[in-house]
Amino acid sequence: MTDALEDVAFDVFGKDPGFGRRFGKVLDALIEQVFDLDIEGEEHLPDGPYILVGNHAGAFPWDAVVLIRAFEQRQAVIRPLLEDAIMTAPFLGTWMSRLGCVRASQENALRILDRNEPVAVFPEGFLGLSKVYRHRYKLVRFGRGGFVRLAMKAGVPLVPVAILGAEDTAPLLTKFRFLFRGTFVSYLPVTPLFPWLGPLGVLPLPAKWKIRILPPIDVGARLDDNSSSADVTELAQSIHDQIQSSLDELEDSRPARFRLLGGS
Amino acid sequence: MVKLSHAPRVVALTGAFGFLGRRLIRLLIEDERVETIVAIDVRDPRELLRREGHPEDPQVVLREFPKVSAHQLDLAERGADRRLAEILSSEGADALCHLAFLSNPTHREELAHEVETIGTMHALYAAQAAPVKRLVMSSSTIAYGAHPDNPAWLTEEHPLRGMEGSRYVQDKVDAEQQLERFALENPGVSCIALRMSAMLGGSRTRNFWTRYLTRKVVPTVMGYDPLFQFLYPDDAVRALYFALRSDATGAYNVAGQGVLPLSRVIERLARTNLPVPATWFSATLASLWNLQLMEMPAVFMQYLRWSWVCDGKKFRDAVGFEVQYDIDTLLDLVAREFDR
Repeated sequence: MTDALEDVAFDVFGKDPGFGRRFGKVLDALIEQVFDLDIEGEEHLPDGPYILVGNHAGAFPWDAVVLIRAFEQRQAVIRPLLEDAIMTAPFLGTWMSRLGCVRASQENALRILDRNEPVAVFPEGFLGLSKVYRHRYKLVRFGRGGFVRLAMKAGVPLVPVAILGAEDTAPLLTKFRFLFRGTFVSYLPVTPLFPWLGPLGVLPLPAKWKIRILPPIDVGARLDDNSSSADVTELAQSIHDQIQSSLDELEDSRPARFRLLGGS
Repeated sequence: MVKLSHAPRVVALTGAFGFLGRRLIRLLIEDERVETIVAIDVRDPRELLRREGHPEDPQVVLREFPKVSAHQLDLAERGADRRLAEILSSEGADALCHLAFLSNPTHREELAHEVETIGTMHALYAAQAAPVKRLVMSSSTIAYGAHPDNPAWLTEEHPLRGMEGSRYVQDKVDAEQQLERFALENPGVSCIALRMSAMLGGSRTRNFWTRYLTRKVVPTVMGYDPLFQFLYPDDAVRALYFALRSDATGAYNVAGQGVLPLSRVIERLARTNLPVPATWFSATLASLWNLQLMEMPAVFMQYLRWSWVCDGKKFRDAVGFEVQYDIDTLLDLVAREFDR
């Protein structure tokens, strides 16, 4: 391993331990007071490294932020892997990496798992973040099942997770594309607050959040090196469906989408 | 430390009076097992000694630099390969340390290309003709290039992608490719390339990164804050010394220990960080470069935007080399050296 790269304080993936110290209280208040986060199924989390597979939504990756802090509150670590569009964006990419997110690639993921740290993946990718509010709570396709192959390669279980609230916290109303033709930013997100309030526009709306962690899936027991791509895609699809039905249940059981501060 | 099968007695250096060469000579002088140091440089050694503040009296020079045999040679000129081979065989050199590279990008790109590419070709021909048993070449981790899809750290398994638009970087890639081919064709010469992290500090030497980071106001790319690692020149020289005395072949990263974001580095050096939007940054850099007011080509902005951190594990495992100055120590040292 690369212990020689590690600074006393700074992580080689760009995570700043001071970030948690400085903004921990704010994030805690956000998660507890504003989002009123409920987490169920914590007992399903394995002891060793694993891959958390979640749905991805909202104009800004609040789901990754909430996951990181919720785990930190439980003295645990999670490394969300985010798409290039986020991690290479100015400001946002830097902040996300200081928080502990990592640019999604098989190589980076294997290295984190190799350090016995769990990762969180969002197989919907950027399509998940760029789904507009009227398509909320509906998962888009899961791509080629790269996360299943990753689990096979690393020999770690997959843990599906349904996250409800990200799209309400930063609802993507529409996308301004015309400004960005020819640049590598594909669009400017438009939410009720952004870009109208400038940098303050990334502030989250007070939505009720719920996270449900599902029982782990032992990929090794289902697939081996001889499995076809169709088998891989099928497993990915079944995880997709599990998350979708949990999400539907969570949504039905939620009293109200938005909450007034202090209420519940 | 790994057992050394051939401790070279006569070590030849190209670029001997350069940034790394001067320091390596001092290390080799202290090594009793080294009998002769053949110092080859395009510069006149007397001129250099004068610049370093040494008197011109040959007796004093001899006392200061015993066992150094200096030769003035322009590696880029025609016939340099034959002349170098003659020097190497007449001195009986068993090892050649090829350090004749530019440590900074320069406006004289043609000259740079001649030195880096043709110079390396000549050095390799000479190493083959002499012949020497051991060939050590210094390279740089900038040859990997600064790309948005770089992994969290680069190992020697990753290709040298270089940097399109920077001749300086492409020449480094080319030199390494030449060495790789040479090593395949000449199994009798054991070849090693050391890819050094960005070097920072070292008294009186102001290399590219040191100059950039010790400005009063350090321009950075707004919204980006890549991780940096640095190597103190003394460590780079020790790495060359270890490489000279080991059997390891191939390419190795010589990486600094510890990483810090650029903004923290600037803070630690007590400089002012001036974030500039990327489009202005590259436009300004391009005009400053064209006006020859700045020695940073526009494409170098990418190195201030994306991380190009490398892992030095392979070299550490192969020869037992440990960096002595981690990023904390190094920045404290450099901050004192360049106190405003």
